[in-house]
Amino acid sequence: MRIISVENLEEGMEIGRTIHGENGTTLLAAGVELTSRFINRLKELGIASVYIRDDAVGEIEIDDVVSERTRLEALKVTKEVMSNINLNSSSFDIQMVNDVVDNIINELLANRDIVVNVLDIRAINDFTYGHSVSVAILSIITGIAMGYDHTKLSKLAAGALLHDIGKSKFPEHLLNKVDPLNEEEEQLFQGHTIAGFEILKNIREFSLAAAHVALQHHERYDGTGYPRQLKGEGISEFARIVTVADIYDKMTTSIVGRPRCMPFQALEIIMANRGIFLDPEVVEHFMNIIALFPVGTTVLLNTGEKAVVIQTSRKHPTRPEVRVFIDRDGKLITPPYEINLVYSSNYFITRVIEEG
Amino acid sequence: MFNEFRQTQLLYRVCSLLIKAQQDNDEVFNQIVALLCQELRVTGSSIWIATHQGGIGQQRLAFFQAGEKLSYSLPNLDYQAAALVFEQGNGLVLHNIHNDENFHEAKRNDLWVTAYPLKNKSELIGVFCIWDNCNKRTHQERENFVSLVQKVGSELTNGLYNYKQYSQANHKRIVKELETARRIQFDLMPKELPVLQGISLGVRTIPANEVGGDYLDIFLTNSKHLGIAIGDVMGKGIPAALWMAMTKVAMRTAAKDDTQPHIAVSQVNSVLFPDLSRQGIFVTLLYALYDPYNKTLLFSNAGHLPPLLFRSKTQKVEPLQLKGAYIGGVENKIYQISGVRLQKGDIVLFYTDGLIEALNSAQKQLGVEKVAELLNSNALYDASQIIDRLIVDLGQFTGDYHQTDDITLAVLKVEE
Ligand SMILES: [Fe+2]
Repeated sequence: MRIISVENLEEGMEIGRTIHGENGTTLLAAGVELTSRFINRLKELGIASVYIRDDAVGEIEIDDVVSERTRLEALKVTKEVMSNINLNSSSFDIQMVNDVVDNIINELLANRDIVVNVLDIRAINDFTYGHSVSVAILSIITGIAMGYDHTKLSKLAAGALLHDIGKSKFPEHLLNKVDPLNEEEEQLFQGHTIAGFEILKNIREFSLAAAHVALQHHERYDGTGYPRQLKGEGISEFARIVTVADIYDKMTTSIVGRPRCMPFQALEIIMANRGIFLDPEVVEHFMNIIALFPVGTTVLLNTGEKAVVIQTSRKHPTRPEVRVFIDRDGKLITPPYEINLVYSSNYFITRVIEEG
Repeated sequence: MFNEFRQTQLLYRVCSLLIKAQQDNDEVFNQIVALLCQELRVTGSSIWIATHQGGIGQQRLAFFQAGEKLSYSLPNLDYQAAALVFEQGNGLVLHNIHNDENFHEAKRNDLWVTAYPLKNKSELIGVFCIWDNCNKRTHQERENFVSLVQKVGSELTNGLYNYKQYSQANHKRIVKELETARRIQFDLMPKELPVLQGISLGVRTIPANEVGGDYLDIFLTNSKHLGIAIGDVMGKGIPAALWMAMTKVAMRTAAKDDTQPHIAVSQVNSVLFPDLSRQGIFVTLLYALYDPYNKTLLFSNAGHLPPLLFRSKTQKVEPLQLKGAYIGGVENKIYQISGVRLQKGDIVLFYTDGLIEALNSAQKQLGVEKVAELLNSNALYDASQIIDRLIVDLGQFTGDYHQTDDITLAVLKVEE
């Protein structure tokens, strides 16, 4: 199994991991053989890369940070909450949110050294809900790395999951607009922070600290954000965490009009912005939870051989364990062999191969 | 038109050119076909050589066409004529190709060819072609012409044979030389990095296909300070590799007793100057001495690229500028010294020009600004991880584009 960008898909390739749609429905199930129609559909949906079965590489185990069931449940709840608000209801079932958030936290706490390895495969029109769930997961893992206890994690998670709830009030055609927003539209858009805060603070039992995430997640560490131009520690720590998770997730998934970054590229941008837009301390924790080269990534080694990443670790982010399957002359190696780059200092990755 | 005397004269000139070809100079074949075209006033001429890589193939060694604008492609016709000779082993004479439909362009333009097989004993080693326009010659002229082509052809056979022998031997010699140079270079690069409390270190060299002259050395001095020397010999192959070795020995000797960097570099120049200047070779050399107790980095620079210093506090990258002549440039040169005090989180990147001059397929250089930017955006990793990351960024930039120069990096990061 390995990750292949959608442009390089060919008919006859077999889907390696099920691709889910907006409601958690199955778009393409694992094992399905690709036809040109399926490939075109994936392109239409704006999906950037998918997992493909590859017999030359063989089986690779990908550890989900959160089980598929929990993730889909969270997606369902987020959608329900946000679309109800959209229908001019001003409230939602807080218990439903708390339950799903608790499930995620419990699963993440069970594995404290977890590295985010799974590529988020998401259609463009599925952006808000899938994005919200991913931001919640990334925020919780960062919170764990920062030593948060369960109570604190719950508040952080609820705020992260619903950080964009104010967008429910924002016209949908503007949400998917390709061209930059004009000044008036931009004003309207920025209002989703205040709108979100208004919704959340009026819900009894929803923590005020969590509601502030919706209000402050577009503030910037250097005071150039919105709506209140808060600065540094003046921005709540929850919001500072969610801002990093939010930006990372946006960069690594495709949005209309912008190509997707690979994780290591997105992390570079995040790191370059530490102390500028982003809280440097949060960034320091965040960079450790993301796999630079996620499992399934094809890489070129200095020997000219091609390999697929099969295992990553927090301690050695630049040196994953790889399975070498193509030799320097471009011939398949059967059977492929594995190297742990941590113990083989003569080997190193020279680049990521996206072209398949 | 071609009397005996002029024929002999022409043959003599061809032969004298062929003697040069034995020194692996394939340019002379181009001179020969140009000479023939001018002297014989023909449309074009070419020399082909048989290649044996994966079955018998043909490679054009030389081609000349008189007059730039033709209504047909002479190189294409020429390829087909040569291919026919290689295939059948017999020469093609005059206009008998006009019956062949592959040559209808030739027929239309009244063009004829003499394609002469160059045979050493029975082995076909090449083909010699002359293209001419039919209408210009009398019958007698054509007869003379064919006999001349045969004479030139037999000389070319010998010349081509010698050239082939020589270039094969030469190729083997070059491959061997390259291996030797690589081995010398590999042996010179630091294998194990010194361990020093409070810092992390990383180094890497990516050799180019042709061995460049990058040199790097990292060592502890007598009082446990860290010495980092990086340089680049202007040249390639064995000579460059040998000069790297010389520089390393001279540098280690000069630096041994915690010598101040500028004194050490001046001393290296004094030792190497006589030989370097005689051979007209320059070496760039930067030597830095890090004192882990005071966190000071002193350095002296003989024409090498300034290291980049990343300041953790300001998140800014600045070059450690200090000018100085190349080693081998000025006799008894006294070099200058400069220094900085480092703080926790600061990073110094030492590198050779191969890094910033690395090209992508659009012929764009990576550039020092981009390297500085990458240093900032990877500053949270330790030194060896920074190197791993810079290499991937470099690879992402260059793609499959083949690099012609060595790339050498060394990173020192103050961890505590
Ligand atoms: Fe937002």
